[in-house]
Amino acid sequence: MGMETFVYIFYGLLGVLIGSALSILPSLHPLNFAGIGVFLYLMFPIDPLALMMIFMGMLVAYSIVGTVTTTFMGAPDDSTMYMVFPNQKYLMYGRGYEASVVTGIGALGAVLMLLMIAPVAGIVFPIFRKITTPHYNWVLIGIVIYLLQSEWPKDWGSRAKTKLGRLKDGWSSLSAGWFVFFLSMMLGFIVLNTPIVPADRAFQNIMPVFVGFFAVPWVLTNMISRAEIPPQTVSNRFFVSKKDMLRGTTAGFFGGTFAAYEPIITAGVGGVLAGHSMSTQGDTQFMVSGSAGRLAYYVGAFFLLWVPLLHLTRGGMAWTSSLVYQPRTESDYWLLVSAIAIAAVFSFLILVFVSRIVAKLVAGKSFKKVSIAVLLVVLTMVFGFAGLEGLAMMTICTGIGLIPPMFRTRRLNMLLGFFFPVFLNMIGMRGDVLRVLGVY
Amino acid sequence: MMGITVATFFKSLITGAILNDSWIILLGGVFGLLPDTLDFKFLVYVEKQDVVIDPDPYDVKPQEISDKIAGEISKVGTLKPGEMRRLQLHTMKLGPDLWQSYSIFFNKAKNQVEVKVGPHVTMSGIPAFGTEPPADKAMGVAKFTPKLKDTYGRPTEVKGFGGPSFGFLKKKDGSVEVIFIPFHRRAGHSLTVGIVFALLGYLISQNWVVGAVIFAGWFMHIVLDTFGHMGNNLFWPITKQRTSGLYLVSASNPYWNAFTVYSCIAIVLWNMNLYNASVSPAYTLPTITALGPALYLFLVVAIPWAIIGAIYYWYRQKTKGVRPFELFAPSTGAVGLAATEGMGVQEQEHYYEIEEKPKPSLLLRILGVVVLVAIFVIFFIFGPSW
Repeated sequence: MGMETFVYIFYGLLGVLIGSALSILPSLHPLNFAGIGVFLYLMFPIDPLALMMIFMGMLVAYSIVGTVTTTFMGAPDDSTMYMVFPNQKYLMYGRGYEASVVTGIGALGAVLMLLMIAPVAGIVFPIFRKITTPHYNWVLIGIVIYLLQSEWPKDWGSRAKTKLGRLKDGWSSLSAGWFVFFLSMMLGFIVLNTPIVPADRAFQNIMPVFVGFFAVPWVLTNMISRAEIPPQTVSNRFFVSKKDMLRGTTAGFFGGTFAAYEPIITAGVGGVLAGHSMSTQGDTQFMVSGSAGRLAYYVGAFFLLWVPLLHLTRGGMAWTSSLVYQPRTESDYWLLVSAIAIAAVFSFLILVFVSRIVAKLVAGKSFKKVSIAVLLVVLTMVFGFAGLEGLAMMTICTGIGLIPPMFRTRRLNMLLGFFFPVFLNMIGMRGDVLRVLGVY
Repeated sequence: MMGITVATFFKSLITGAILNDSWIILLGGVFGLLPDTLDFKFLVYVEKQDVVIDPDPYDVKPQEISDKIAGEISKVGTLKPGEMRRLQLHTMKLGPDLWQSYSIFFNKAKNQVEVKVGPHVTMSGIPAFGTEPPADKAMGVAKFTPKLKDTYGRPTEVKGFGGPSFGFLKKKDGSVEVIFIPFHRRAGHSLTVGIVFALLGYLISQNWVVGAVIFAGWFMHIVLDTFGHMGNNLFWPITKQRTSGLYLVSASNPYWNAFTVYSCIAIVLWNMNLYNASVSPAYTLPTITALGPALYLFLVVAIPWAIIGAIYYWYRQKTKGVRPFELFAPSTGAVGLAATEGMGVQEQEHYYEIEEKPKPSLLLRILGVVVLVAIFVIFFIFGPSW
């Protein structure tokens, strides 16, 4: 290992610092800055591998430190929506710090599993790719059908006196779920076909959509709450079992890795599939599997770009950064693997540090006031990145995003619907549908 | 997953899916999930409710609940054989993720219904210790007259989501049988309804493969359910009641769940690799095909899962009797510390004597596994010609 390696790892740690600072701000994603990073690189060229290491550090930090916004500010994104409920519940019982750290341990577990598969990744993934490539289409539509069909009514205990009344109660959430899927799909056809944000910011096209779908509805719901955040316990005693940690991490890792590998599938979808496969249950398993899945999805997709002989580009960061650099040698791959491990430990330490500070800061504050502050930050970010058009788009998406909590249906349907046009594009049907809709 | 797995054995379906000509293959998955869809999205709502118990979470009266249930059992004792009355129990919601728990136990030995009010619990059943009611308000006991048959033999916990229903069925010998969630695994889990769907599929498409894949998906769901504790009513409406399951696996067991999903994925990959060759040699690995299905499954499924199973068994033995460590989020400060300090040593209360479950004979259980293996052997042999 030469001095050069240490320099690249230093760049990775620099990425962690940048990523940590950005991910603490609600609604931001490393991808928001990846495009800017590439633009800056073209203006002021540096070693492209160093830039890749910075991107990697940002992704790792986002996956680990970014859970602070979910736990303490209640502003989830698509990959943390299944963690936000247990994490916030812990916060309201004075255990926000514990939730934050346990979540971070789940992500560290995923990194450990990533390291374990790293030596065989160059054999397993190319085989897997060779066999499954012709099957992406039907597997994807199968997943969409499964997720729509496998949503069960949330209120089995309808109190209606008649059979029809009970049927109506039970189907209110299910039909709302399908309605959300339909609305999101329509939105996907429009947004993914005709970017609404200004052309110079077209790469931020999806940001207002996701913020509107996930972060703003949750923040608005929290604003209704009159609760005060109680004093937070900051101790090194964590009430979790090894079994829960192992089960949650395993489920999250495989779900996230599947999502990273399969086009269009996101961490949330992968998490649900893995959760069903391993019957995850309980708050700890949800928190841990959520964070493990998030890391396996974001970092895993970037990792796939580097796996020798795989030649697979998945995820926004890999696509963006592949414009700058294509990993060439096996030594590049091992450099990335080592840097991921070191960046993860560094990110975890930052998470612990930041969680301690934020836990003290939010204690005793009105949840409503914290939520208003978060909303202001979110609005500023969306305006800054996507302009007034982005704010308008975010508002429309917030309307859709409020339906799932109102009718107790899956938020995941928004993602499935929004990306459904991409799937139709893959099978060559998008043009037909767009013509029917009159888009062109 | 099992439905889609068996669908991938049909060569014509998988090649059609690769070429984007046909997605009939997905019918295996849809009909594989349909039995539970019918039960939990339709039949649960149209079930007759003769008696409904909907306790007030802030003023639970266990004695009233037990009186009502015991009275219902006694009433059924006076009915004609074959008649059934249904009881719906509701849960008690206290907050977004907080429920007042209670349990119902049919004590056959003492001919009494015992209702016990427990602590507040989360949706996943994590208790908030210290929220149990005082002993004099926690129990309700009421006698019933007929002889009772309850194969479950232990308390039914009523916690989060919807509450369970019970059917009380008058038997020919004068006894009353307790049937847990009587709407479940009846018509919606019968071979007869599966055959009807398959016939409809065939008549609409005029393609026998469509009917076959519908039935295969449906059938495999029922076969897997039979491996659990609760059986199915296979020949509804000819047979009236559910049979007992084979007690081979538990649906909530993470090992068996993961094993089943993993095995299904391994089989799907085998079929993909095998049939890809007929579309393009670029997507197939002849080395894997050359192994043959038996050796492939031995190497890819049997060996790794034997190792994982051994570790799992060892870990379970090691942690036997250890309480789950996840805690309901306690109060902070001294109260929280006191509550959590006690957790490590507090033992599970064994209030009720748990009876031995009526497991089917060993021969029958082995036969169940043999049938499953035989089904897959048939698929492996004949799938390439379908």
